[in-house]
Amino acid sequence: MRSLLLALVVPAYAEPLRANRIVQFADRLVQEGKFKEAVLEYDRALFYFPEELDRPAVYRKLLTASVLGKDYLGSLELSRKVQESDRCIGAFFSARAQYGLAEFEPAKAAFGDVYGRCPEPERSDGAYWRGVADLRLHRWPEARLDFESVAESSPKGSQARKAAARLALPVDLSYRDPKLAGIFNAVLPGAGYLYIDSPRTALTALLVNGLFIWGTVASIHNGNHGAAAVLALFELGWYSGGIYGGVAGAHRFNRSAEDAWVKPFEID
Amino acid sequence: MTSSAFAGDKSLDERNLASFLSLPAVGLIRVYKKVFAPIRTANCPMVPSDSAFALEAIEKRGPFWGPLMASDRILRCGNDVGQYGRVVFGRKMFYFDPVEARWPPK
Repeated sequence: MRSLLLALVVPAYAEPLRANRIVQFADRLVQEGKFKEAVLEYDRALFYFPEELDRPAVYRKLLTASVLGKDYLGSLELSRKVQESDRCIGAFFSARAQYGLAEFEPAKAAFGDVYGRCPEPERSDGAYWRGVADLRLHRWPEARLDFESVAESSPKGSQARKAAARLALPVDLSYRDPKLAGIFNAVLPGAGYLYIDSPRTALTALLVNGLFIWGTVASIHNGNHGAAAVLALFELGWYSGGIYGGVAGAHRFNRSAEDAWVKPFEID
Repeated sequence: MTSSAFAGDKSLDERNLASFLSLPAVGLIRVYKKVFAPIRTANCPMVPSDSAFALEAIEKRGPFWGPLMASDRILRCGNDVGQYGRVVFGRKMFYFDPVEARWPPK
């Protein structure tokens, strides 16, 4: 009897699942960093309630979640699908996915296309991200012009002004020359590591190389040629590994310096 | 006859040669992992461990570049760790330094 009553009453109170509630849930997933799940929920809302939703806004949210999740190949595919119904949003996020895949030159061209052909807010977003792509390409004056062409009323307006002001000053990323780092480590093991701001590695390299060279020389002096050959073989490994490490480390140092400079401007 | 029979297998031969040349280094690392690693008290705070890094580097980059990358890694291990990302395994924190991050050298 009780269950029969419940069966009659509960459906009357149960609120039907509305499109905006699914979107709210997806928004919460984005805030929690669950981007993949959020993409699925936005997609679900668009599939079940295509007429009830502000579709461009949900497309933007869906593609933003996809980009934030760093699934750039997935974003590229999704944005191409979105492009069929909303050309500008699809084109912008397609360019954004290319940027995420480190294809900066084509991404810059695609952002420029969005800036030239689309209305706001995609127009300003296109200009802003073209500027960011120019930062990655080390084209400082072009980047400055891009940031200056972002509309002040756009959500990225203030950040674009900051970037343009920063670019008015000379840009010095304090790069390290990889060849020089390798040569330093060849001349004095550890000096190349010191050059790329790795002082503890430099000290380790100096001590290890010094120890093995000393061991090799001492073995030769004592007539212990077998031990000398083994120690020399290991020393060759430390020495050449150090040269490799200097070169690879300098490249890594440069990437980090560039990231530290550009990343604050990569805002979705 | 012999040369024509093997003419098409050049890449396979090269791969076999690389594997053959890698054998001493891989053997040494495996012995280290089996015999010495379990009795060490101080561990490298990086992921993958030095020996795993060396094995992977030799497997992926061959008998020339692999040992160079391994030497570089041993020199860097636990030093200047601020430049690496952090990961947590179990309740311990490690510094993430995969083979891919050092290759290509640029």
